[in-house]
Amino acid sequence: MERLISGQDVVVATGPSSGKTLAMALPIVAALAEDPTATALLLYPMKALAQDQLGKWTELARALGVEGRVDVYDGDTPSHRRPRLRAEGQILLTNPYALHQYLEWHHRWAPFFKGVRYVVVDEGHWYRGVFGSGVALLMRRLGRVLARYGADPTYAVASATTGDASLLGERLLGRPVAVVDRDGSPQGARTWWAWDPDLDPERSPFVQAVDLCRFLVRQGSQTLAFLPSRRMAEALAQAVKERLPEGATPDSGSSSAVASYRAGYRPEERRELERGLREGTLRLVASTCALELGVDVGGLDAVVLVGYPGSVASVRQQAGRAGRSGRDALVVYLPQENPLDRYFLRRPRELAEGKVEVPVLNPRHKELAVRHLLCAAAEFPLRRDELPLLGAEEEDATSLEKAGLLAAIPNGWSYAGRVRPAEAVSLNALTARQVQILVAGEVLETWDEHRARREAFPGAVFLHQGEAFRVRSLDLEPGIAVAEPSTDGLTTKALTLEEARIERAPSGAASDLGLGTVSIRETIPAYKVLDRGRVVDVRPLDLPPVEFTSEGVWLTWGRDGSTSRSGSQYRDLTLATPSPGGLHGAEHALVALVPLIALCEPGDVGGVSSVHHPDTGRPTVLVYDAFPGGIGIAPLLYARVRDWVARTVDLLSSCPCQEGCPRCVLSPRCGSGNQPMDKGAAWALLAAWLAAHDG
Amino acid sequence: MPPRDRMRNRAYNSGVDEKRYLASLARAFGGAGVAPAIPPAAPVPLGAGEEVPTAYGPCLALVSAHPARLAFPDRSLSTEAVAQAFSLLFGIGPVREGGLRAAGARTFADLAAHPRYGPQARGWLSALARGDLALLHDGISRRFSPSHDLLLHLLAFADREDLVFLDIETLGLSSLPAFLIGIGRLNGDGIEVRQYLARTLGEEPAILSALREELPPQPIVISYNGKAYDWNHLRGRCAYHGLGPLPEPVHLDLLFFARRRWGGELHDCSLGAVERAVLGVERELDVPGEYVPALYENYLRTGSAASLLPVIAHNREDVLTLTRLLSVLLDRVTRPG
Repeated sequence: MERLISGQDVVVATGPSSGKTLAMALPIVAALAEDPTATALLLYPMKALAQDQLGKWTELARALGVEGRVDVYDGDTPSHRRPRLRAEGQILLTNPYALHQYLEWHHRWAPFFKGVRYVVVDEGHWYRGVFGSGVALLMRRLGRVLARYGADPTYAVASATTGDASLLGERLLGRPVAVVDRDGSPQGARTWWAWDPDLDPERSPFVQAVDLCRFLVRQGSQTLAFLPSRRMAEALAQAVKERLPEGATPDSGSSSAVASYRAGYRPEERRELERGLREGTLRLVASTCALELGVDVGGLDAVVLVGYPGSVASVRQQAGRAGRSGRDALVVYLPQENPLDRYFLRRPRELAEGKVEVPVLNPRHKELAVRHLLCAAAEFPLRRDELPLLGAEEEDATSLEKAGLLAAIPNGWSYAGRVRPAEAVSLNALTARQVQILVAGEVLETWDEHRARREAFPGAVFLHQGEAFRVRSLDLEPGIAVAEPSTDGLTTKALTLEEARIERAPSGAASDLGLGTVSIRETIPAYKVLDRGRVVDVRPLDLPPVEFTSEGVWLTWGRDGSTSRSGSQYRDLTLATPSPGGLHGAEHALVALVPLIALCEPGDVGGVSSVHHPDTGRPTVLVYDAFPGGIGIAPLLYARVRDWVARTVDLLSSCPCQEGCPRCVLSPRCGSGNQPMDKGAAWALLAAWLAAHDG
Repeated sequence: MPPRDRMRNRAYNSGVDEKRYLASLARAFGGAGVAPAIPPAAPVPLGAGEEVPTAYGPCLALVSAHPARLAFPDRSLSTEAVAQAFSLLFGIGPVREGGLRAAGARTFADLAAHPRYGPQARGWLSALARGDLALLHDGISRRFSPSHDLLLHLLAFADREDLVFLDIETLGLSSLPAFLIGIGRLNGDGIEVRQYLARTLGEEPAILSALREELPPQPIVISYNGKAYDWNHLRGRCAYHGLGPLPEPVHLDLLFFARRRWGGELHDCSLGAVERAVLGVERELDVPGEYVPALYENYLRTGSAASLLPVIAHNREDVLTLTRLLSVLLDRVTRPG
C-alpha cells in the first residue's frame, strides 16, 4: 500500500481472497478523493468481471468521498452516456478489448486521460500466451498515449499466485515493478489428499469421484468439485443427487443441496449460487474452472479436483476456495490418465507447496509487435525514438512504409492504411488472418488461422467455456468455420506428424543444448474419436500441411549415446546407439511435462526426434513452440532446462509400467501410433544427458 | 515423432518470405502496396498550384476563383425574427407563448420588464444589438433543432470573410488520413476556392496546418454533413498530429436544412441528389465518393495525377455546390413574409 502511495509500480500476487482488491483499491480511492482531477483506469479481462467489481469500487469511492463518477465504460455502455463518462468519470472500469478500440479516439478522452494517476490491471495471471502478449503491447500503447497527455500513472497489477510475479509484471507493463506477495489472509490448515484410482480397479475413476463427493457431503462437509468439462460437472452433480436421500437434514445433505456451475450464467444465477454456498444451503457444487475467477463463495470445507486443471497456479486458485477464515479444510486430488496428472499423484506436495509456473507472454513477438506498431501509428504519429518501446526496429517501419501502411513524415511515420488498425488487429490472434467459428449463424469465437487449421478441422470437437461443439466445416478463404453444439459426449484428438528444421541458432551455445529459430511443418493425417477417454474410431483427414516459423529448444547426444561433455560419473551410462524408440520416448515425455515449466496448454508445444537430425548432425530431440513466431515458451524451457529434464527423468523412473503407458511416454496425439517406443532407453538417454550437462 | 527420411528431403525457405508477408499485411490493413515495377508511360502532372510553406513542411495549394451570388439576410429583419421567437427563453412553451401574445407581447422588447422572463429577454436583446454571433448561435442551438431557419438568419450578423465553405477528402471514415482540404472564401462578388493537397501522406500535417493558418479566429463553417464528418474528422486528425485544437466554429451543416426542406420529396438527401433535384446541376463524369481513396492511392503508387485530377475537381465542385445550396436556402429567409 505504501508503495502505491509513493507512486511505485507494483504486482500484488497472492492467493484468492487475500484482500488484493482492497489493498490496491484503498490507497487509489483515497488519492482520488483528495484530488478530484486525478482519475484511475481499471482493466478487467472480461466485461462480466468489470460489472462484478463495479459495486465494490462504487461503495469504496462513496465511503471515501470521491466526487467524480465511478462506472463501467465498455462496448455495452450506451452511446448517449459516453461523453459524460469521459468528461466526468473519475474511476472507469473497462476491458482490454474495449481499450484497444478507444486509444485511437484519445482526443475525445482528453479530460480523462490527462488525469490518469493509476492504472490497475486486475486478474493479471489471465494475461498470458497470445492474449497476454497482445495486452502487453496494448499497455505500451496506453502508456504512450497517456504520456502525450502529460499523464504518468502508477501501475498496479493484481494477480493470483504466480511463478515469477516480477517477470509477469515487467513483461506485461514493459517496466520494472515491485512485488507484493505476502498473504495476509487468515488461514486454517489445509490437508491435501492424493487419491490413486488404481487402488480400486473395480470402479472407474469417475465413480470414485462421485462416491468421494457423496461421502464428504454426508460427513457434513460443504464441498466444491472442479471438473474439466461442463458435461462431467453436470454428470457428477446428477450422480451424487441420485445417491443422496431426499429431505435429509441440511447438514448431511439432501438432493436439493447439490448444484452444478459453469460459465455463462446470468449474474442473478451466479448471485443465487454464491448465496447458497455462503449461507450453507448448498452442500455440493460441481463446477468447471469458471468458479476459479471473480466469484465470491466464501470458504468451503473441502475441494475435490477431478483431473489436473493444467497448471499449479490453477490448482492453488481452486484449492484456495477451501478453508477460508481460519477453518481447517481438505483438498483432494484425483488424477486422470495422462503424464501430467500422474506426475502430481506421486508428488502432491508440489501441488500444495511447489513452484508455480511462469506465465509465458512475449511482447517481443515480431508479428504481434508489428501489428501493434500500426495501431500505435494510428493513435499518434510514430517518432523514431518510440520504436524500441513498441518492440520494433527502424527496418520494421521502413518495410511497412514500403507496403504503403506507413507514410514518412519529418522524424517519423504516420499511419497510411485504409483500415482502422484496431479493427484489423485482434488481441487474441497471432496471425492477421482470422477464422470465425459460427454456431447457428452467430460468432462463438474468433481464432487465428493457425489455430483453426490445427484445431478446427471438420469433425473436431472443441470446448467453449466447458461446453462441447463439433466443427462441421472449415473454409479458410472467407475465414469461417461452422460448428454445432455436440451432446453425444464424444471428444476428438488430432494426430500430428511434425517436421522441424533449425533455421538459426546462436553460436557458442553448448553443443548438447540449443535454442533458436525453427521451421515447422505439421500434418494432421487423421483424428481419433474418444468416448470418455476410450478411442472408438480413427478417421482420416486430407488437409494441407501447416507450415510456420517458431522458436525451439533441442537436446542432442553423441553418436554413442554420451553427450559431448566428459568427466561425468555417468560416463558408463552409455548405450550402444541412441535408438529411435528411446529418442521418441524422451521427446514425448519432455513435451508432456512442458506445462510444468511454462504456463501453457499441452497442445501449445510440439516435438520432433531423430537419430540424425540434418541440422545438428546428431541424435536430437527438439521441442518447439507451436505458435508462429513463438510465444515465449522455448526461451523459458532453455533457461530452466535442468529442472525440466530432471522432472522428466523422475516421471519415467517413477511410472510403474514396464513398456511405457499413456501416463509417461505414450502420447494420444502421436501421428505414428507411438511407434517405435522404448521407455527404458528414453530414461537412460535423459539421465545421461542430465548427468553430462551437470558435469 | 520418430525420425523419417522425408525430413531430409525437404528444403525450406529460410525465415519468413518478406514479400509475401508484407503483401498479407497490406491486404489486412488496406495499404497502398508496393510501387509497380513499370511506371506508366507518361505521368500526368498535377497542374498549376502554388507550394505553401507551413510549420509542418510544404504542401500544394490549388487556387481557383468563381462567381458566387449570395444575398445575406437583412440585419434588422433578422433581429426582428429572433426577437419574436419567445420559445428561445427557458420556461416558455407553446401555451405560455400563446398567453403572452394574447396579452399583447410581440418581441423580446415587450418582455424586457417581465418579472420572470425579463432578464433572459434583455440578454437576448443585448446580444442582438451587439451582433454577438457566437452567443446567438449557442442560444438558438440550445433550444432549436440544427435545421431551424433562425440559424440561417444568423448570417445577417456574420462578417462575410468569416464564412468557410468546407469539404474534405480522406482515405476512409473514422480517423484515417485526410489528403485534400477544400475551402471556399467569399471575396467581393465571387468565391475563391483553395484546395490544400497532400502530395504524399507525409504532407497531411502540412495541409492541416495550412487550414489552421487560413481559418479566421471565429470561423463560420458551412458544410454538408460536416458536423458528423468533415469537421469532426479534421479535429481528430489535428489531435493525431498534435497540432492543438481547432477553433470552435459557428457551424451550419446544410445537410440538416436540406433534410428538413426536401427530405419529404427526396428519399436520398446526399449532396449529389439534392444538387440534381434542387439546383438542376448534372455533373459530367463525377467521381463516386467510395472510389476516392483508391484513386488517391493509385496516385501515390504511380505518381501520375491522372487518377487524382477527377478527385480534385469533385472536391472543388462540392465546395461550390455549398455556396449555391446556401443561396437557395437563404432565398426563403431573406424574402420577407
